[in-house]
Amino acid sequence: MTAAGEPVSDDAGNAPPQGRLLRKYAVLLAAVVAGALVVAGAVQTWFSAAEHQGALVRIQREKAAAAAQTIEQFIAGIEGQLGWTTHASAYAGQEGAERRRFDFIRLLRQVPAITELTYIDGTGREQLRISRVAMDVVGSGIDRSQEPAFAAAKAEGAWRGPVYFHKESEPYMTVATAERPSDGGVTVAEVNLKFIWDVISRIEVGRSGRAYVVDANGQLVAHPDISLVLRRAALTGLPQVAAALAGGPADEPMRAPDPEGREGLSTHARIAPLGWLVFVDLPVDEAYQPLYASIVRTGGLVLVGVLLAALAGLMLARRMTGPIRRLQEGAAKIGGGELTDRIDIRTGDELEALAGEFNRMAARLQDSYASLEHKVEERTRELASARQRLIDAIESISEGFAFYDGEDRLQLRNSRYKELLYGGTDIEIESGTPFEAIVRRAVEVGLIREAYDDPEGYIARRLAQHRKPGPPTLQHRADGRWILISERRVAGGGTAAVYTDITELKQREMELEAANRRTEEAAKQISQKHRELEALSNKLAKYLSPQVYASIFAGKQDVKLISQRKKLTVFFSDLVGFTEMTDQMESEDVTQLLNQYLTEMSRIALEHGATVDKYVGDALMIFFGDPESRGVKEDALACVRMAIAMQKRMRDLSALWRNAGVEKPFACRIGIHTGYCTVGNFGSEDRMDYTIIGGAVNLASRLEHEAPEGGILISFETYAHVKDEIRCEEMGHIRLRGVGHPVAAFNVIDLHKPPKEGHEHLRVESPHLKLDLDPAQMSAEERIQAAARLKEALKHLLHLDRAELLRRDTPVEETPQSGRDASRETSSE
Amino acid sequence: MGLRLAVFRRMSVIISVSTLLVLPPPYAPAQDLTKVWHIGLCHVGIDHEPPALHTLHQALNDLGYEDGKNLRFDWRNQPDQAAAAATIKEWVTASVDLIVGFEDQCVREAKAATSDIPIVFVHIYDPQAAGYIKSLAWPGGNLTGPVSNLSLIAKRLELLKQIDPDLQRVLVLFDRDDPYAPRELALVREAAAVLAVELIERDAKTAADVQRVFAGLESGEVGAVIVASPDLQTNHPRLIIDLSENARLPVAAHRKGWVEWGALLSYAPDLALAGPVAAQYIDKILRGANPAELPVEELSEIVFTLNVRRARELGLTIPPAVLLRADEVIE
Repeated sequence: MTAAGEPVSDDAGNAPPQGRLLRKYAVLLAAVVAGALVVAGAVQTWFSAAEHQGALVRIQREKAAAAAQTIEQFIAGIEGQLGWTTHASAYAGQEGAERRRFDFIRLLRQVPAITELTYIDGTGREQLRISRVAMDVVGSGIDRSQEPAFAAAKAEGAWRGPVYFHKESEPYMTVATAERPSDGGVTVAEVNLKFIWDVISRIEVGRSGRAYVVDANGQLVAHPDISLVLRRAALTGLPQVAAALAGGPADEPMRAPDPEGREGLSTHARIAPLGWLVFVDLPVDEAYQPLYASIVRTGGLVLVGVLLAALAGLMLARRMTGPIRRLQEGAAKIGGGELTDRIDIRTGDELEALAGEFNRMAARLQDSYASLEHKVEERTRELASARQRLIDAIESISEGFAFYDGEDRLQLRNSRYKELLYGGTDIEIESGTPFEAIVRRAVEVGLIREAYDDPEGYIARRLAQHRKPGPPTLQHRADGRWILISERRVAGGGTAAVYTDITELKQREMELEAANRRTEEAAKQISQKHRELEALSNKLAKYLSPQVYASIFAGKQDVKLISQRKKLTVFFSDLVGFTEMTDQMESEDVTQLLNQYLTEMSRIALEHGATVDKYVGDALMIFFGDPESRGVKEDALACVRMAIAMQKRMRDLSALWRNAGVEKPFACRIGIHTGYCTVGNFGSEDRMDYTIIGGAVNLASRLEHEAPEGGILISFETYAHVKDEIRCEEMGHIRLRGVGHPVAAFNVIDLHKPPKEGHEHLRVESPHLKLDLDPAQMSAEERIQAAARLKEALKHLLHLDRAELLRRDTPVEETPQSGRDASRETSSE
Repeated sequence: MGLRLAVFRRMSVIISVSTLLVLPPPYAPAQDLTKVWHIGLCHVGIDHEPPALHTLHQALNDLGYEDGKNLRFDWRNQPDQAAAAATIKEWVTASVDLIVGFEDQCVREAKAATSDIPIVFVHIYDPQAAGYIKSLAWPGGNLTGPVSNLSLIAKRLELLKQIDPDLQRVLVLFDRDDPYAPRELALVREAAAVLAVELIERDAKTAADVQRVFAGLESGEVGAVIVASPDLQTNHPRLIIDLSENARLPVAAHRKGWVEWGALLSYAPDLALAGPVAAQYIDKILRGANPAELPVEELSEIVFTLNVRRARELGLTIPPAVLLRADEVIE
């Protein structure tokens, strides 16, 4: 059996379906038997149903007929009873009339159904009426000759009237019988038909069947449910009633709804003398109930039969298919290569013969297979030796070499390949291993650095590269080796791979690279330092005069405690009344105001090439001539020009500040002197200041103190240098504190400018001074007059001022100078 | 004679029993086994019980209604119509399932009290004339039931006259307030005219009235007594019979029970037969039938009961024709 399984698994495509034959036979046999059983059951049910229905209908019809007969007998009995009173001869004369009355009373006693008896004589006159309900009437003589009861009974001897309902509730009929000698009277009886209800109620049809009576007009006369009768139901609408009234045959049962609306099987019988019909209806459910039971029974039997048939079919089929299966299994073994196997079947029929043929075929196959095997062996040996030579050859080369076939399985490789691939591990590489498995193994063991981060991605890339080899690639191994991989597709499928160890080469390259990187790093650090220094010096520059800064950084000047004498032009300026103002203002506002002032002034100074020595509060100390000099004259000129520009700018600033809310505008005083100073670095070794000292500095400061508000006071030395360019006003000799001799001072007025067309329009507006001077609009006469007036005013002003100053200073100081802020004086010395 | 009656009776019983077997499925009130049907039964006249009471009760039991289990048979016999009205009001408040009114006084009160609760009437004369129903075939309201009483007063007078052909004057008792009284009076007057009998009509409502009427009779003034008012019949039957007996007057009655008490004759349907029929109505209604659609059935089998002993006491000879008619003879 295990051998039989092999061919199936080896060749699953056309595996012989197991047991299908058995199933086929079993199903066929079962189907035949079951079919026969079903047909038999159906036929049986059909006939028994027909029989059952026939019996049912017969019983129904008999019951209907019996009921009809009972009713007929009831009517006939009443008529028979009436017959006793119809011998005219017996009731002749007065005595006869009394006897008739007595007989009528007796008749009423005997027949409870009769409620009234009437005798109508031969002429149609009512002679006697005996009633159970109404009063008896004797000899009323009412003419009733026209009534059908009388007329019809006279003509035919007897008459039965239609059913009528007394007080809409009880069914009645009139029965009339004529007296025997035909010229006699007629006895009319009113008959209560409730009796029929009793007859009908007693008819039992199955469990829920009903019998009911319908008169010739289709009117329901009797029904077990008296309500239906009392409602005077007309049943002509029911098909069975309509058919029966139309004279339909009483033999055939009819499927129709009964008066209560239930679907039923209806039969009927005729009550011939009355023309009435007795119906017997059995609800279909009940009528067919035995039929359904029989169907269920038959169904059960058929089911059992089918099960038995299936069982028998299974057994039979198993006996038939057993040898066939053995044959199939034997054939499968031989097909699977077990040529020594033989099939053993001893059924003594065609199957055994077939097995014999199979065995012979197997023997022949065994023979031919043996010789084939020998040839194959020989050829294999030849191939092996050729292969060994090839292996030896590739083993001798120093690179790793491998060859993968068209399906990417390793065919050939030398030991160097293995060493390079799985160096340092004891992983074996079998021939026939797929390339993917080899790479995956190397990655899993962690031999390839490139695959550390994304092993799957690396494998996919490596495979792609392997299948479509490009230029040689480098691989970095976990042990640090570098391997150059060259792969090439070979004609006829397959890939040849050559692995070269280039670790040493790679190491050199990397060392070189590292050296380069270090150099770059150093350069980067240097430039970084440089940038820091630059930033630092930029910051420092703000504390130094740009010229000093520039000359220091240009390397022209050493930062040493060295000084030298030079002829410089020194400039001092100061805001008048600033200290008082600062007491009245918020410090933030003062700072802003002062910074703006100093910034503006410094800018102007730099524009004119000045060296800003220092700021002391609102005071500025500036000099020209060091570190760079354009010559003493040029320096002095530049200084005075700068002072003029500053005063001009001050006027603009005053306007701005006034707008910003500074009540009293500031005025600036400037003093300038040109003379020899000692210039250089003064201070200690740790902290030094680049500045100037000397009498010239002091003189300039004193001049500044003496300058008018908004004015520029220069010494004669300066004036000598600038007089060609600058218009000045001689102030005479003035005494200055700390200066031994009177100093000739000049007040700077303006630049000498060539007279121009459209002379500048001068507009000055300050407290107690309003000036609108437009020389362009003036005549020459007017200009001369204006100049004279202004000169006078100026003289007046200067005179007043001086007088004031003299008056103020005299009691306090020995010198006629004003006592200014001591700190400021010292700062400039 | 007795045998015949028995046969007739048995037949009736067979009718009802077989109807019972065939009509509704025999497994009684199947809808709700836990439901206890509350049926109120009302009658006026405490000195007697309605003839159909026991037969009705028995028939209900036979139909599967068991007292205390699924039936509350709430029987109330009342002295007068006002008491009956109070009882019915109580039932209406309690929402009983059905009301049975024995005789007109109760039925009238029940009809006035409710138009929702089904009412089955028993022992009444003419439901259509009384306005209980629209028509016999289609009652059309919440009332229905069997009609067991027929207006046979004329026939009774006729029988009295036939028994005593010398009968000249008959005392006719009636209750002026009974709506039936005028018709009964009309019928009896018509009959009296035919029979050449003079009617002494006396209005009486209470027992005192009845006593006064009898006390006011002169000896020989009347030869027989007849009652032309159902209400009066049911209110004071014993009194009327006893007073008639004292006055040696024959009474023609409307039910057999009176004959047993001393009336000369009764000519009427067997009222006890109304019981099983009424039970059928009750059963159908409790099973969900609409009383408006249950036709009124008339019990027309008349029983003539004759008290021969009483006739002898009164010195009356029963003519053979009358004797022949009698269904039941009490010796």
